[in-house]
Amino acid sequence: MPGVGAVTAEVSYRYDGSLAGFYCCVYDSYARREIPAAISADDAEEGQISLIPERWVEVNVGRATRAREGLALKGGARSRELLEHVFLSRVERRETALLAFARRVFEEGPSILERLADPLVARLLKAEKGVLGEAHLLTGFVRFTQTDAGLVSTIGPKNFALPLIAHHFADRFSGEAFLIFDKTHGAALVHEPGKPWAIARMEPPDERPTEEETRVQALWRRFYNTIGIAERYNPVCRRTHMPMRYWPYMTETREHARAD
Amino acid sequence: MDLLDKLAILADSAKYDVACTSSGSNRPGKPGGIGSAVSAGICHTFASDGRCVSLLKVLLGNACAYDCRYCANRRSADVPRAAFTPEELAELTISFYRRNYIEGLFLSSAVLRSPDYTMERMISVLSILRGQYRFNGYIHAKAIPGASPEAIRGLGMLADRMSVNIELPSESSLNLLAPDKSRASILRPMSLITRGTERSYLETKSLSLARTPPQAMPQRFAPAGQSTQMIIGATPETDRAIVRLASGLYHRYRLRRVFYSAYVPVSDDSALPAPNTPPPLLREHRLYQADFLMRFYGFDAEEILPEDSPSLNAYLDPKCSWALRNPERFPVDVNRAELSELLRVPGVGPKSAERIMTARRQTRLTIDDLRRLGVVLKRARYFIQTADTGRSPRISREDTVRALLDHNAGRFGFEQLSLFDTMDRGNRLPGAMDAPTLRDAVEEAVACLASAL
Repeated sequence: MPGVGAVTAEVSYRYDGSLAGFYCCVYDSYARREIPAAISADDAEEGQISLIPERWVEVNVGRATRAREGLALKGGARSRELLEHVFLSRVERRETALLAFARRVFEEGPSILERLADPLVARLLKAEKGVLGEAHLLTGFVRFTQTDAGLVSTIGPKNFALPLIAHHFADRFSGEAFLIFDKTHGAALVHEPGKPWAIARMEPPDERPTEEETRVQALWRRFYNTIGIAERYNPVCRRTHMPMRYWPYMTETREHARAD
Repeated sequence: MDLLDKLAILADSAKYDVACTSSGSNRPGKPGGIGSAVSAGICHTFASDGRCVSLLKVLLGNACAYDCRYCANRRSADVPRAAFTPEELAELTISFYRRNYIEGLFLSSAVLRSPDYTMERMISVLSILRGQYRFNGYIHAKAIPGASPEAIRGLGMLADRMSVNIELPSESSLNLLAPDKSRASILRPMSLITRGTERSYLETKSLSLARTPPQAMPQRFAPAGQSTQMIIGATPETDRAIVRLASGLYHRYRLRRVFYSAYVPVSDDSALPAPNTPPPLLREHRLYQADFLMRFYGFDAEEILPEDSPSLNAYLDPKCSWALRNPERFPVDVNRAELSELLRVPGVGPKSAERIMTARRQTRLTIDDLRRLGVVLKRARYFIQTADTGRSPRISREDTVRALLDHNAGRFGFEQLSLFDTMDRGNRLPGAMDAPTLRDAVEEAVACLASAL
């Protein structure tokens, strides 16, 4: 791709918020030899009123693929993975940082991944750690409720972690019909036995428990309340490992969350 | 008895068992089955005491035939008794697992009638889970001391991890407090498991080198290895004896983990700490720190506690303690040092050390670079040399000691300081009796440690 001679341009890119859309922004930045002053997703609140001219970047699968494959070709699979992980995070001015990263991958090659103390790389690695950390916590903290339609869960994560936990749950519960609804992003992971999983925009699901469900939840709460050792009571340690923002979504802590 | 009460009794009886890790097995889901295992393990919740809950940890039954004096379930204790039927417990496990409450089952038991009868009942729980429910998730099973080799083999073929509790750090303590158990009845199953896991690993390895298809691979024996735990503070063993014992268990028996459990008094027995004695949590914490140094930092037991140091330091973590004893090893040049040398720097963990090794391939690292790498400099800065600092660290001895002091020590309670031996290389560190407040004790400790530098 032509990379030399790009200048910061008095223009802001606007795209549909998808990963393919973002790769098209990367493509355009090269094709036009310009670095946009800002990039914003269609659903983002910031940048609604902009003082500089805005350009809508249309999703084009061919261009997105070229940018995506070019990135891996120049910087290796790990560079692309880092970009795509951070794309799921909520780091400030995410797209601008990721475009800067992509441009440096094209210029410097995979050695950029060794520049761990570089301010941009350090910032992206930190953001990635946040995303992967939350995804890992969710593999433990997701709670399913048995409803007549199958297993249903609601989560409220900071990052858009559903794509990172989808395989784990589909593999573990391959024989189950389940749904994990991400309230923060208005999307759900849906799985039916024998079919590949899918993530789609969705309204909050019906979580009415079956009669059996109420009984199992009571058993679980009883277990949870028994297992702590009173002489070792340590609320700070509990909150450090299990931040309170997860509590309202978990069977055993829902009531504690309400009380606080 | 209703299932709710049964669960409460049998979870309550199991709660002093420390291990709840679900690590060491990596296994994708199976078509037609339920469950998988993730090698790093997954915590599903955290109890009110801050401990990770990964597995449904219960006893199969708590009506024990043995009478170990430190145990809440001993025969002579006046506690409610209950037992699950194997069908009941298997069903409960699956209904928790499907809802993602747990990573699997931690099955232990009191000695019901005899060791082998107990093992038989445990095996039937695991058979129902693995067979009828096609459960492919994590199972930790506790081997009962005195069980036969056949029973151990049967249980190990169905479990990911096994454990036999060493219970107390010395044979004399064991003889005194656990009359029905002997050192041999504990070590024999332990070595059976070690050999079983190793043989099964080698067998699988050679079959996979011969390109045996996965469906033709034999079932593995306890692929996540074994762990053990011992009670701290119920008996008079020193930290040095405990750390050396743990080191021996890691080397001779290839244990994956040794757990330490601060003794919580469960009976009024003249041979044991009185009821209401607080559990020695700070001491337990220090032992875990020493354990991590052996497992991830390349320290051996003798370095952590040499012959003249029977006790870990209440005020310093064991790595800082080592650094103060070995000033000739510092400063470490972060731009040249080996990984093993970086791991000796207080405040630098395995992740930071790896990051330093990677980042210095591209640039000569400065203090600011280290900060961006995420290295915590509070303690490390007194022990390192960077591209922008000279050879000699510019600090007073007192500042160094002050920075190294473990400020978390006070969190465990002032009185915990007295549970340590207070001699440090000829100097006496203050215990809770020697100073009116924690702050005074800390000031005294700083002066004492700095003068020894």
